[in-house]
Amino acid sequence: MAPFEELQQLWQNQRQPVARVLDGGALTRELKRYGRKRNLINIVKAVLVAIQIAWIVARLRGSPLALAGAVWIGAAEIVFIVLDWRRQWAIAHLNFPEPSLGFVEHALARLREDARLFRRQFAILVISVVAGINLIDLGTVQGSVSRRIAGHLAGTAVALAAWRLGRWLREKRVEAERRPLIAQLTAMERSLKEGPA
Amino acid sequence: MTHAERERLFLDLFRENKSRILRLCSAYLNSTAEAEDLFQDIMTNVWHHLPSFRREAKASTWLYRIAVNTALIYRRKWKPAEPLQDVADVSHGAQRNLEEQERLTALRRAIGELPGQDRLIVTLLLEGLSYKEIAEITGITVNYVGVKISRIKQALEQRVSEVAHGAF
Repeated sequence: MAPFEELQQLWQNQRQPVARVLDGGALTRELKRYGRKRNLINIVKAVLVAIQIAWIVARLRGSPLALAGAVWIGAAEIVFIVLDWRRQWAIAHLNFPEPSLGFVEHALARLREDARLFRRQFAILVISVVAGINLIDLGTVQGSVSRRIAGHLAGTAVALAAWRLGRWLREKRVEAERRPLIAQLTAMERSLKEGPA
Repeated sequence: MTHAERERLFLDLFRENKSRILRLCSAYLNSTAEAEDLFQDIMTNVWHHLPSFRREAKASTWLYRIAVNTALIYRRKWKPAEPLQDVADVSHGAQRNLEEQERLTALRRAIGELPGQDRLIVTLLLEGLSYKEIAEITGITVNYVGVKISRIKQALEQRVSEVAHGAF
């Protein structure tokens, strides 16, 4: 039987097992570039939302009700985007330097909490959008009662359809990414916690 | 920590630990492309957490924790199709003989047959870390590390010994 010390020596003296690895300097530059890119993406998102709000306010200035509805939708979008960034940030910034058992427990808790928070925040966004659309309709749709009712129903239906689509897309993404990770981490957690018999 | 300090510390850690971390990645994934990918993920996490690094902690333990935790949540992006390559290393390349290569291949195969978490633990042991250090990295008790390691050690030695005696 091979003594373990020999295996250690064999292991530590092996040739480089990976062919192409960046040198430290190149990796540092790449990391800085990545950080700048992330900042730029966030700035672009913020500018787009600001432009959208400015455009809506300019268009609906004549109708206070419609303006209130648009501002409500805009505010709900901004809050949702900020909360979404925070949730993504929390997932991406797990505490990697902590011991693995604690790390796995916290990562699992955060992943599960993320799903719960998303459902709640997305529902609040949809309710806000439905309310905002109906306020815009109240301020802008003219004509008979039946035409107005049809306007409200159409606006509400579009918002609810968007909500279902959003939920469906999210579920598909979660199915592909989050669930296998949760399963993997759950197995790791169980294995780490088993302890000696 | 200033930006220059962060960069200097990162490069020091990179230089001193590159080979060890690469070996851990290759043992965990057994695929060149994925090992490279995991290595970069680990170094990215090291970079992000450097500002919170306290010098009173042992740098290698800190780094290994990040490496092990990154590996634990690493999701395979490709099917394991590309086997590990041996790339000539000036310091050791000339001394390697066929028997050693066979034993190393057998060792890698034996590691590859272990469950994910055990692969990481055995790599730490092969790197020469003590039970206490492994317990500090994984967060499990020294006793349990001992139990796990004695099981893993036996399996590995058996497997490599089988290869040495032509039982493959």
